[in-house]
Amino acid sequence: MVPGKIRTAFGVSAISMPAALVQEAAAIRWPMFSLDAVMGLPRHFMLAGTVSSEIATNHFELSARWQAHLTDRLRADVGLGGALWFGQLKRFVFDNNVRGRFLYPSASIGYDFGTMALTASAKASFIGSLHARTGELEAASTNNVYNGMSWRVSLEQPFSTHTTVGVSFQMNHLKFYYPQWPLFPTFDHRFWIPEAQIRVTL
Amino acid sequence: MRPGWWLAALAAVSLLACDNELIVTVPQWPNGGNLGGTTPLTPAQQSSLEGVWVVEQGNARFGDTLVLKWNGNYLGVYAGTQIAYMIMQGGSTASSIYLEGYWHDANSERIGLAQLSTPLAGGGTVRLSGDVGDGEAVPSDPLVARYLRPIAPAVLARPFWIISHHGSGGAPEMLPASENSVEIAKIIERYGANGIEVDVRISHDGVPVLYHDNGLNWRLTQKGGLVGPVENYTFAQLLAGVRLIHGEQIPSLAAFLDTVVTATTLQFVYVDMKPSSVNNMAGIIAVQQAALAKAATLGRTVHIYLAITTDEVLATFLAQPGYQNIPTIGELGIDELNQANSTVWSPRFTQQIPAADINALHAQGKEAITWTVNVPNFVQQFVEQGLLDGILSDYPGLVAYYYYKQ
Repeated sequence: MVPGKIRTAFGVSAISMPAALVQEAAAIRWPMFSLDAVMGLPRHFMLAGTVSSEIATNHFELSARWQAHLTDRLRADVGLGGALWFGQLKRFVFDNNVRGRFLYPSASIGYDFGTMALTASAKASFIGSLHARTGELEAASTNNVYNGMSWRVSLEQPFSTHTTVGVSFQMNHLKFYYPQWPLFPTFDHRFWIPEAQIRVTL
Repeated sequence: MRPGWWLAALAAVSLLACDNELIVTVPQWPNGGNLGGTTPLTPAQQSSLEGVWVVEQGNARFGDTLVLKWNGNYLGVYAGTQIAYMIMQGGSTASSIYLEGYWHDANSERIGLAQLSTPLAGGGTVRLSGDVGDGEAVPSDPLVARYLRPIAPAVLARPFWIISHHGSGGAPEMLPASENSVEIAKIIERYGANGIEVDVRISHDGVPVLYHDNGLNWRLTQKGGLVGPVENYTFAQLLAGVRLIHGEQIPSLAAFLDTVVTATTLQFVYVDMKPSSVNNMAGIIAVQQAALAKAATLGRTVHIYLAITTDEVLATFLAQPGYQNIPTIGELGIDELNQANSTVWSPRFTQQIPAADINALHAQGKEAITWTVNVPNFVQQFVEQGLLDGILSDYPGLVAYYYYKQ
């Protein structure tokens, strides 16, 4: 990516939480919106920021990436991201809030077919801290836990002169996926949590 | 279609096919176990084991404290970490008491065989020692616990409801019988419960049946031909066409309550009236009254409450003749509780539960419980506050640990 150039994108994700957690085997529960920006830096470095929200939960991630140009069409990169997140639910019979930090090492490889680009990526998740409360009671307090992995396959192709559209399928294999926090899960178990995203680069 | 889109479709299908099923199989001792050559424990021997024990070896799996409490012929051993417990049976020889069963982390798939023993000779410090293992492997990880004290008499004297959510047969606790089944009622006391919560819906032909979710699904039932809401099918069709996750039939409320009254010592039944209960609330009430009458005939003390869960359920309930005398739980506010003359208030644990409200209810001879508390910190804090009269949980052993440890 050209140093100084900034690329932004808007995405909508649908996440299917495990039935064991939500107690109803319905598939997709709610959309999550995300806005991300990537800025090129010298020496194939990039700085990326993502804001994700589904109103009750907000997640802010900042990551540094380094990209290797393996051929004209094939590229690989590695990165390290950190995220702060918080959630609050004070409607209906809820009086809950949560906050925490995540660490996300990741790697990806992408191929440009000319008319479309295919990217496969893997991302590890570490919980730096997690504190959940309901009213005055502390529900959970966790620090420094390996949370699991996420794998993603993305296809992106031009939509108009300056816009591309991408479709991603992501499989999370996590103990705790942050949008599920209002469920107060107690499992010590990694669940498969599928996620689909449509993304438009602006 | 371009090759890339085929690839995307293939990825989507493979991702969605991943299995999140949580089924735990209780390990069995080979040849029925080693208690065959022992004699049943006397009440005095059983009583000598009940109490609070200090873990001296095996802390990584069970924490620092164990609470031992008999439930019939089963000894519940409740641990202070990982929501772990053991379900044991006992026997004695001329020299020792032997305990044998299995241990389980209730919030994971970790489970294994367990065996403990203690010498009968009195005097000095009393210790239980033995081993636990993984799966059906011969136990080999040492566990040693030292007797600290009996369960406080004041704790035993106070009625406190430990109510298993849905019967606790489904995830997350992964017990050997399905939630909302007759079979779970028969065994749930072993896991620390003295009460049970079930969910009632009305079948197409008006029969009150037990089922939680809005539709027949793979979380609660084995794969079969029926789909959609329980309410779309007659009871006969449900009996013939649906098997719960462990193979049981969907029970009628009448069969379930009859089992509770005649085959258990459960003292508290929380019948959560799902939306379709308005289709035949009179039928639900008739079943409740019949079960209460049978319990009275048998001299059984069991409280069977219908839970008022929504405004619509409340409105339908208030239209029933003599509703003031029907035992109910109110999940709505205090005003609605008073409207229905409910005996028990049951707000969700995530909302504020003012101490003043609970004290006012106690002054009227009413009770307050909360649902559904699975987080150990919450259970501990609610128990230590000492205000509530019970807790609904997927982990009755967790509530038992904090309650009896006081």
